[in-house]
Amino acid sequence: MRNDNEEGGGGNGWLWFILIYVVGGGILYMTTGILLLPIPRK
Amino acid sequence: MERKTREKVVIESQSVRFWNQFARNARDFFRKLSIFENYTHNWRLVLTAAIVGVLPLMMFQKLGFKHHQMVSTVLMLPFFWVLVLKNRFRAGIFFVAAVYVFHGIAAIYLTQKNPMAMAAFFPGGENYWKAQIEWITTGFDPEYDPKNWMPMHFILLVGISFFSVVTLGLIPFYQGFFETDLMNFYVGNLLQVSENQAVALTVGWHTWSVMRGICYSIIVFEMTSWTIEKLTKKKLCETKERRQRWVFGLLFFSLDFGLKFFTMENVRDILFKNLHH
Repeated sequence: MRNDNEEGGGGNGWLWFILIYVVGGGILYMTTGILLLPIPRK
Repeated sequence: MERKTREKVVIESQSVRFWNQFARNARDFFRKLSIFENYTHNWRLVLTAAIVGVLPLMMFQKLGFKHHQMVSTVLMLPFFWVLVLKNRFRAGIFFVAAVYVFHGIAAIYLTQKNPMAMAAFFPGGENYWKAQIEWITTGFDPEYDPKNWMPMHFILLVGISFFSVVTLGLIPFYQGFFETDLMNFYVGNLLQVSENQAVALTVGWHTWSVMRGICYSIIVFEMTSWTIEKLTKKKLCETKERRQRWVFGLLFFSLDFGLKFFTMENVRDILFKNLHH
């Protein structure tokens, strides 16, 4: 069994990691971005 | 009761396994970024910043494609992440600043040459320019009322910190391009109607906006670093260093706030007197 100190997951896990992150972040941006990122006059 | 405890233990161990696997995948992903490391030293870092900041804008405006802001953001991220992973804080802030400065020079130059054509490449730029020139000439702009802009600044601080965590800098840098391009488009237009170009450029690009840029570069670096540390379960730097970064970030946040509050009228006055009459 793998333990937490192992270096990497192997396979395409890294691709899933970044996809989940980008898609998840994108959805949050579409839903909450308008509230959390106002554009103050420079 | 015993069955419930056993179920709880199973769920907890599944959750631990999921997060351990997630951490391994994250480590895999960040290890693959080492191919970008060669381009994050000395003159190569400057060249990379210039390419990332300028090339998408130049190419896209020739080809008539929009979305150069997102392309620049995606291009700068791997280099930024490498600097975060190596805990190269100063190089990271320098890189972000250099990308936006190179991008700004190109955007202002292109806008000054042909404002009408460039409007399409800077979403919201035209309305922003109209609001700015009205404020410069009349002094009227409800958005410049402290009770309107002050809450926005605090919300933005929360928003940028939050999106640094959930997108590792993607949305904050995209937002950065969007907002600085509003400024770049306005300054490009301002140059056309001003007597002294140097004054229009240096005063038009308000000092408090520069402070905000530095503030958010620091906060995005810190929050991205903190998140990567949690995701990969590998220590990147000491808590003391993180605290210092927040102090610096909030110092520039206060400078943005203070300069905007105290010097806004003087800035408007200088810009107004510098207009062609």
